[in-house]
Amino acid sequence: MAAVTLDRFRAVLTAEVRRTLSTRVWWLLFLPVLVLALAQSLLGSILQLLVPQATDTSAILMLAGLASALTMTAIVGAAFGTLLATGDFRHRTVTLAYLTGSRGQVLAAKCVVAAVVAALYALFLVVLGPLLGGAALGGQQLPDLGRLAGLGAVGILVAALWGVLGVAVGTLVTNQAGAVALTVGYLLIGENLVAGALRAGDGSLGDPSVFARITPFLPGNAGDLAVWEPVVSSAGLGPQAQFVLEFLAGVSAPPPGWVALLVLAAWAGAGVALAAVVGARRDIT
Amino acid sequence: MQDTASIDPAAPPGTGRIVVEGLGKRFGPVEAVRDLSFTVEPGSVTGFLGPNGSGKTTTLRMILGLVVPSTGRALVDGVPFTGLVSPGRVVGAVLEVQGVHPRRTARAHLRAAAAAIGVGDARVEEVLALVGLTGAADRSAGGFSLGMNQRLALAAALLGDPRILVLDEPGNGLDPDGIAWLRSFLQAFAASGRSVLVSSHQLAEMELTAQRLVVIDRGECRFDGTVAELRAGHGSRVLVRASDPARLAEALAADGLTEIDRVEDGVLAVGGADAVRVGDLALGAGVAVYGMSEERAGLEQMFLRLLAGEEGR
Repeated sequence: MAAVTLDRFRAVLTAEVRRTLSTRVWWLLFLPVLVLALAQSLLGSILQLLVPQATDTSAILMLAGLASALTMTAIVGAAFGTLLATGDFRHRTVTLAYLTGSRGQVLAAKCVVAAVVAALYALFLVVLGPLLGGAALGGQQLPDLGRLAGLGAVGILVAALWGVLGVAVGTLVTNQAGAVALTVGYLLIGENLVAGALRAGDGSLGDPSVFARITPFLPGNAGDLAVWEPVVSSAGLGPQAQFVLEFLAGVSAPPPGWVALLVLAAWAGAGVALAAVVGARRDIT
Repeated sequence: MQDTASIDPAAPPGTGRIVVEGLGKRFGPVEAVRDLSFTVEPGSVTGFLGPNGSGKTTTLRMILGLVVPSTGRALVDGVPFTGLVSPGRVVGAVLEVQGVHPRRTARAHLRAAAAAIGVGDARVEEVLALVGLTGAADRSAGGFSLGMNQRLALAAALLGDPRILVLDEPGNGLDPDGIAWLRSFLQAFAASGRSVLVSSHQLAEMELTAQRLVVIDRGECRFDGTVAELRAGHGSRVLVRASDPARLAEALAADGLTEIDRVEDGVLAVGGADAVRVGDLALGAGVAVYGMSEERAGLEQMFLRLLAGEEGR
């Protein structure tokens, strides 16, 4: 029985891959990632404001630029996941999908496809960013390859998880324009407003409030935190490190990076579980 | 389109039966379908008739697991649709609002579905040829006519070589040639021991295609049986020209035949009896008969009479 189930899932997954590759959304979204790769060096200069000892050619600038671009690539990944899930509803192809595979299989297949495509966006950035971004400014020191790879791996994981969360949102909110606006709008603006409200009244000195301590556990912040943490910890900032990290990720009292990754994974898991329950009861009329 | 001989004559295994038991669906305050029960047997085409908004589409979508029933259940091949391990190999469906991504080609659309069902790409070429879309296979579906979209939907439904076909108004958008082709296709499909449930408001077309009928109105079943049974109950009338229509009408009524209309001067239309019985009663009553003929009502007439009759109850 388990073998049959696995076979069926593989079949539905193959169908989802074919559906994805026969439209252009997946490769069109490489374009904003390319722009991010080109702009990465500019993004890195933000660290100079915070870390006076960093020079124009410091290796840390490239890491910071990559981290910044990675957090935005995760948004592109989330947008792809949302488009993937809502496209079937927009074009009414969901009927045929549900007639040839179970709803759970279709949802799981979309999660896998979105995770892989979003991870590819991040990989594309990790490979091209240092090359293009570095070339654009010229004369920059390449950071240690191990550090680059470590940051890249975290960024790819975060983008993949956001791809999955995008599928969950798109399954819950089937209106394509609405779901994409909700996902991207939340990540660009919404969560900053929520975090701002939670941190309101906290000074830069003294212990953060209970509410402010929630901020690292919001999904967008958790991803940002996971990406920024390796950069900040490798900058050798000493006691300033936490302050810089809090500023960059927009959080208070950040947990370790691996905890932040788990938090994002938990959000993705919860989102998919909710989407599975709601999706299973939905009438396709 | 190819001729229908290309259908595999050997029916696939399985009961191939659709069983609907006390099915009901409520959308908010609207009761779309109420306590509907019927069975679709293999080997014949079952027509699913009803006026627009009578609940046909909702019922078909409940059978296919797309709409969750409020009450009752629908079994396909012995289990609810969602319990089928490989649904695409058991049921093929052509539904009214079944989309294709406008930028996807017909072939890409079918190849994705073929992968989900678990059949090879060679089968895609077979069904494309069967519905006559081979020449348009590499065109984007966004530029297809309604008729081409219907044929593409039928091709997708046939990919898994299913033992049950469910079609919602499949004639929409087809030209007369296409409708004639579809009719013979469905009949050959059913004749190979498989089941066909086809909804339509084109009653005349159903009369030519279906052997069994399920008629619903406002979400409730009005009739479930063969076309012949529907005829026997509601269809034929005997037109009789008699010397004394009033006396004949009395004699008929005395024998339990009360469905009598005076259609023109001296002519009675008698329902629920054949010419032999009317002739015998006329002889017994001493009424001369100048002519008799059996009027076979079209399905449309029967259908309207059926709905009107139920309404009066």
